[in-house]
Amino acid sequence: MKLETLYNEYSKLVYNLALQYVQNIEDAEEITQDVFLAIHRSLDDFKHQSKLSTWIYRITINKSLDHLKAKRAKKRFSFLISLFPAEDNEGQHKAVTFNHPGVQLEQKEALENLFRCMNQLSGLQKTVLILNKIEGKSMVEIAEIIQRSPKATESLLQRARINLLQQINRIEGNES
Amino acid sequence: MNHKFVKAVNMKMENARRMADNFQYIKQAELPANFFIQIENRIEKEKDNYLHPKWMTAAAVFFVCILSLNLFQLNKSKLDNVKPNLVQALNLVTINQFYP
Repeated sequence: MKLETLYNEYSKLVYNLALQYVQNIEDAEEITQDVFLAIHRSLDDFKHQSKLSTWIYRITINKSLDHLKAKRAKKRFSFLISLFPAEDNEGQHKAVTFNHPGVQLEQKEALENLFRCMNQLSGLQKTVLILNKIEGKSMVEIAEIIQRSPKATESLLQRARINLLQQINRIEGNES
Repeated sequence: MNHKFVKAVNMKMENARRMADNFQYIKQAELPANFFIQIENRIEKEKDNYLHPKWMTAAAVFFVCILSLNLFQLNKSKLDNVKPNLVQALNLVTINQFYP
């Protein structure tokens, strides 16, 4: 299968899924590039044991979580660098900004807060929430993507929901 | 008092639930028109630098083999030098013990 065909079919899916993780256009575009690069490299090794879309979902989720991890490490490192101020500030970490093109202006503030709460969850809980609440996937589909049983996925989603509500309450409590 | 507390908690949870419902307002976003060209360019750029994991593993194994062989050779040559001296020293000690 040609990469261009795959791109035409799945680029929107990859980009939007990455956006839900990073909520930033530049980062989501970078992840999309990484995903298609990974697909290009390992397309010959794909054994068709799962659906192509499930495989692409998995790659996108892994790349997004890796990206977030690398960003967090960079942030920690830039804190160390800031202890020893240099003349040029090129290596310093830029502040993360909420720049989600799928969010309309009226809902921007509410969704920014909501994503802030969701970003406090673990990678797996965040993944399950994104796939269920935003991508509208069924429990069986999510279970296939994250390679867990439907029952385990269900309880994971339940825990994620409770944790999200707790985070919202905490933030709302701090703000009021 | 208790009733008021339960009511407050329920209201808080209801607010949180309402806020969590905002996920439904997220729309699909579009990629820039020339984005595939950017991906193709990156693939071209990384083609020369990319090393398949199996070659990386082979290189690592080869490196470890060479290193351990070198260490083994080094130890062997060191032992070769040490051995006669040690034997000689032991001989001297023994001779001195019996023929002071």
